[in-house]
Amino acid sequence: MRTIGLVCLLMVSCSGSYKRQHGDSDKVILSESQEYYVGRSNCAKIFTKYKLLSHDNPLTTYVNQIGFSIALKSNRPTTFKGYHFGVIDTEEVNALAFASGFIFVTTGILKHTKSEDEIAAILAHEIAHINLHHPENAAVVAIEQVEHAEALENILKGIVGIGKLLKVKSFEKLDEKDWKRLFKYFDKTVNFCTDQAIKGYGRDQELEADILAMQLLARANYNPFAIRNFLKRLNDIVPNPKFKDMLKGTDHPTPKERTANLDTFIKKCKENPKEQPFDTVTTVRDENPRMGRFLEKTKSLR
Amino acid sequence: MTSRLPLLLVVLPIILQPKDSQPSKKLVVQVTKSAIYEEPDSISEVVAIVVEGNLLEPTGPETKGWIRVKFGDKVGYVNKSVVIPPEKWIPSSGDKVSKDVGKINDNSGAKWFSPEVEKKYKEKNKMDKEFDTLDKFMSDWFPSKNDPKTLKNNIKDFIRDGKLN
Repeated sequence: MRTIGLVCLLMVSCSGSYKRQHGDSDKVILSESQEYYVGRSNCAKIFTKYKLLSHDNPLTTYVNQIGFSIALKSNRPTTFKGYHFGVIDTEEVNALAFASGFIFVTTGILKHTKSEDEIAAILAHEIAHINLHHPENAAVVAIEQVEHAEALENILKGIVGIGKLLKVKSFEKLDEKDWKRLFKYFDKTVNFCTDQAIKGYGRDQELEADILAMQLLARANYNPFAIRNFLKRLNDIVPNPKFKDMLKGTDHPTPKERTANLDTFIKKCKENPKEQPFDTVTTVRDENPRMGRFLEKTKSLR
Repeated sequence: MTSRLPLLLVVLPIILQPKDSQPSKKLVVQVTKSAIYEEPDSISEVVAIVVEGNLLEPTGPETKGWIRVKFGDKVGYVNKSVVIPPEKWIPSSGDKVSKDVGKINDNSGAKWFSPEVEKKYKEKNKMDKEFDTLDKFMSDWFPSKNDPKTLKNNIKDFIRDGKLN
């Protein structure tokens, strides 16, 4: 019992330096700049495997314009160094959101869209992850996993944890051994967060992001139903082996489950109009005014 | 008891005043660069540009995620995600951080996930090329994103052309 208490005490003391209270919320997350450095390394990691469409590709500009039209209207219109949207040149069907607002969509997923509003839906889902702090929560989970493992190891060795050690030492005075441990924390966090972004942030978080995405679409005056329409189409490509592989071994809900989740939300909004966050969330909007520029900017995909 | 009544009449309204109606103390900007807008909307006119560490004075309660603030002689709205109470702020180690707040939170933990750690990560994983691509991606891909005023104008036109207003 005493040992358990000691373990808990050490875990609390070790975690203190990494986290802080965010705004008026009790949610413990990383600071804006700490989050930014995790996000940057996540990007560098995916650049080892994938190539970006160039900065002067019309699709790059188009995705940025759609992304910012939604992000600027969201609850978190900027991050430490702002949002950054990029298009990854791969047939894989995916979209990623890394800490601090680094968002990527693949040419593979864009090929399945039929309107600008559907591209907006994909981006709104990723922006929702940033608004809901899902990447930072993943970073905190990673940090805690290393902390807990280390705390246990240290108890067995009879030494203090890294949090305590670095708290009493100034950053400049870290020796090689401290750097090694600090590096381990950063490395594990980057690996865990990259993995989470690729495979999905977990069932509840994905469903939560879909619902917020629908609201963000409505707020930006896109068709909120575009996300549902796109998920329905995505369901048709589930049998595709590449897509099946992606969902394999993850907790990511299937497009069918995600559509059902949105249907429940829409039903609730219709039953209790006063309860819904935006009165336009259940209003279907005409996507035609944007069809001309969608066909023009995405012609390289067809 | 009666002698304490005048005192109670003065103190009670202060104690019972709803918390929301009291504009809180100053707030610090926690992102590298952002804007104060004329309206509670990121597409409205930019009144002033603020940088990390600038202190803003709230002049009213938060409404739908926006706070009315005063910065020097400028008054406008800032999104609540951009600011934080000074005592909770962990400054980055960037050289462009404003010294408005002083050294109130200069703790070592703040610098843990920082340019120094990133440098070690880059060296150890031999990722110079990838970080170069990342720096270019941040500066050259859709460059108007790096200035709140230019971004707002670019997006405003895009919104209008797409009939999204």
